[in-house]
Amino acid sequence: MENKISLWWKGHRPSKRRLIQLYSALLYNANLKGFVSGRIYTGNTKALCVPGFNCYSCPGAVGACPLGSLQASLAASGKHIGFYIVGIFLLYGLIAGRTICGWVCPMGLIQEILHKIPTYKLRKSRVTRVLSYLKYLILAVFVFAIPLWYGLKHDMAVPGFCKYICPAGTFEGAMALLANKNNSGFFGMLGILFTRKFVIMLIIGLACVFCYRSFCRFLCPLGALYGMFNKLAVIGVKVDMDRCNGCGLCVRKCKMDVKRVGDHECIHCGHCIDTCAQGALSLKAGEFTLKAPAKGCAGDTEQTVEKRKKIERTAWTVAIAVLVLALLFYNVLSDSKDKKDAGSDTAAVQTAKRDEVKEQSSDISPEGNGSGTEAGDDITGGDPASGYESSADIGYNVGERLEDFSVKCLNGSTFTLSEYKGKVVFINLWATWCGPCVAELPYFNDFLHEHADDVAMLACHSPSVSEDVEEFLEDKGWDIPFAIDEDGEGVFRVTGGSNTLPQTIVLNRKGEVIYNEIRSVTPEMLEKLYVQAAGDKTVNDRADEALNEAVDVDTEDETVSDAADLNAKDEAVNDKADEAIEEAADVDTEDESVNEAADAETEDSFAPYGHDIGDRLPDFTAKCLDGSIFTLSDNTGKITVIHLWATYSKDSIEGLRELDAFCREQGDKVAAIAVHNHYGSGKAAEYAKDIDVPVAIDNGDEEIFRLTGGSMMLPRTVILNERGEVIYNSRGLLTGEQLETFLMKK
Amino acid sequence: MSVQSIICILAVILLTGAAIGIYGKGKAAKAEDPTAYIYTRESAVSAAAPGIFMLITGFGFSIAGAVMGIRDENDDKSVPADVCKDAMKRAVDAHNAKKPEEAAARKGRMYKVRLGVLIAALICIIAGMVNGNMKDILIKAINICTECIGLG
Repeated sequence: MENKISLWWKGHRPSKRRLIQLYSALLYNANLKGFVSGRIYTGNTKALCVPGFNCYSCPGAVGACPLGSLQASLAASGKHIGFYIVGIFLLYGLIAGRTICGWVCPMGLIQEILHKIPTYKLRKSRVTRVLSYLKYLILAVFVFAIPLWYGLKHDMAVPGFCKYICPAGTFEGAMALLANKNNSGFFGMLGILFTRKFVIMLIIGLACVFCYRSFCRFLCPLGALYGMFNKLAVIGVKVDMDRCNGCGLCVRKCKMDVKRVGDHECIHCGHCIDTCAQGALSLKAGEFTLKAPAKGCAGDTEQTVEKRKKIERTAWTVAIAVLVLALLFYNVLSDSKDKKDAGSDTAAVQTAKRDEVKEQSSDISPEGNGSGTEAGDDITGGDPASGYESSADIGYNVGERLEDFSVKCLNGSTFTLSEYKGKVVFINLWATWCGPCVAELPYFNDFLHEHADDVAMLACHSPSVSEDVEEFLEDKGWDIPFAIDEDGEGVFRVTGGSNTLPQTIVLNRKGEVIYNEIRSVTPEMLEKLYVQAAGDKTVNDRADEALNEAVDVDTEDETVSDAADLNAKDEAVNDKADEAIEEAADVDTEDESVNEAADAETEDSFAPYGHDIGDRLPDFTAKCLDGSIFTLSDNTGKITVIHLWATYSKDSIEGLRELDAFCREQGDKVAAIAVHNHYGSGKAAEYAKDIDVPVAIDNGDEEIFRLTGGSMMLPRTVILNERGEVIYNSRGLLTGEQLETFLMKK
Repeated sequence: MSVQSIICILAVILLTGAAIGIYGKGKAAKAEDPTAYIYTRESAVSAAAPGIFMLITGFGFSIAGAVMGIRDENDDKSVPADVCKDAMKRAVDAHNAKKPEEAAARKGRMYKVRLGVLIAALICIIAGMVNGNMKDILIKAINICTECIGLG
């Protein structure tokens, strides 16, 4: 029995290479407590790139992924040239080249373990060799082109490979974080991106069962990069040409798509060393032999063999000591600084922070500032009871009342929460290095413009600052008050902010949190949250209000100057318009000059150009989907309705149908055009099929949207009178009935 | 095809179906309510359970196979010689055609190139530490890149 076991062990014991692979996977992920807490390590060793493929968002990771770092550096190349990452690649490439793939890459280990499942195996062929060049294309497009394009053109960090392909990120990062119950909040973020990456990960995993290291051979851009150094690398399998007879058995037995030992596809796993009957192959580091053939290297003596074994034993001892020390350091000695340095956004951390906030709030005296708000540089405490009438507990979870704070904004103003009593408050936590954060800021900006009277907003940058934020914001034209939480003890502490972004907090009029989630938002979400927070108005209610307001201006009345005031609000309606209105008032007051007023109406407008009530809309031309051309000035003398819409907004599709029905009823009296924004216009034609109203797609500059004051918040309806002056411009769904009522009253 | 591989294929199909199913349902819910979640822990666990069960069964079979010494013989077969086009033979011939001095000169050149690359690497690393590139990487690494790992 004992003999059987020892025989089995001999046949199944892990090879030295397997042990080294396991060792490196454990060393890269030495922060084992991260898997339990669901938090990532945030210490300084994260600045060091590990040689293998290991996601830096893995809870265990103690170093950075070289490929992720390369993409981050390329995305930031407009600010800092990526010298460090270039140096790292040169160094690793020079030392080991693709030996890294074969010996110290955790992804390689996972693929080899999957390949252990016994089944039919797809062997290498000319097809797999051609496919092996795919990784160079991926390297060029996803690793270099996409991050560079977005980084330089749009100031956005978009790591193409990580975002669209990387199975290591999905497996080690997303799955490991989602599996932890403390990170339940992450589920809110999942959508198409996760679904796509999850399916890609499954397919790659399955492919590895049937085809040896499929990811490594066909897709891995890191292997493609290291492969370029293979001939230069110090460590690798070397051929003793004096012994080699050129039989080619080594290449035929190799599972990688190599043409010869040591070429760009060779991962120097050393499998060929055992297959070579000539003993011509050995794994070497310079002149030192790491793995010798069974018959020994040329010139080997007993002493050299003994010396080699001794060095090997010493190396293993040192390696084990390093691993033990690393495990001790990361799991016992290091506090990981997460709590202080925005560790991670798990529920566990948030609960701790909430308790802290509550504790500090309880110290706040009724007279003034509490001790708990003194920590931040730019933040000062305030009496939480002074701003709002709510009696909810202090905290940042839904239903709790946010502690009052005051923060100095980049534009020099001060944002004090309690000053916005009675308004809906949106707080966005973001960072310049966070692609989704930068992508959603325009939505916030548009939203703020739409609701400037009823909404207060603050965008607070993470304590992790990688560039000059003011410079970054300079040419963006965003009007949101921006602030930076220098040490994470200000807005981030009060709102439960963390190192996972973007995060949005919405407060109702009482200052109570109605939404606090780490998740990207859409214009629809912002609108929905606003309606929820405002608690009193829906989008349609507001559209009705705007409609009635506009109608009241003309009908209620009485004094024309009041109407002019209401109509013009901010801008002065020019003299000619006043004259026309006065003449119209004469008609209302049953005076004579009806004809004069009518004449005035049909005269050319002298109102200033703009999109507000009373302004004259600048002329534009749009090519419609049915091939016709719509020119605004061609419709002078008619009421013109411009419907701004998008397929992503259900209300705007409904509005399009309502407008279509209305125009059919009105015939030639009304001219109309429906303009879809350029963004996401792919399905517009589908919706426009049965619509008589000409439908156009705005051009790449969103020209018509700009001219009419349109934004991502849709639908929007702009109505022009016979002279091309704006008589209605508001967001929200307008039914045919409402349109008719409005125009009748007009 | 082995039992394990069939189980793996089934598991992948089930998990893919589960992910697409949850996404489809979630998207419909999101169309109604823009703040709705597409995935929830409950939906993910219940939909993925059969796939995960299949995966675990597949690995169980694999471990049993390894213990019982069942191996895949295909794995060790070499590919036909014509696929490899005797590149090694050509390499040997080329080596034999070279004079010993040429080989020594090549070795010397390689040493110089390696030294040059090493110096360039060290200079780049130091320059990167100074110009802020290392800090960029640290910031990226200590913050969870939700987009990178596919969370969204």
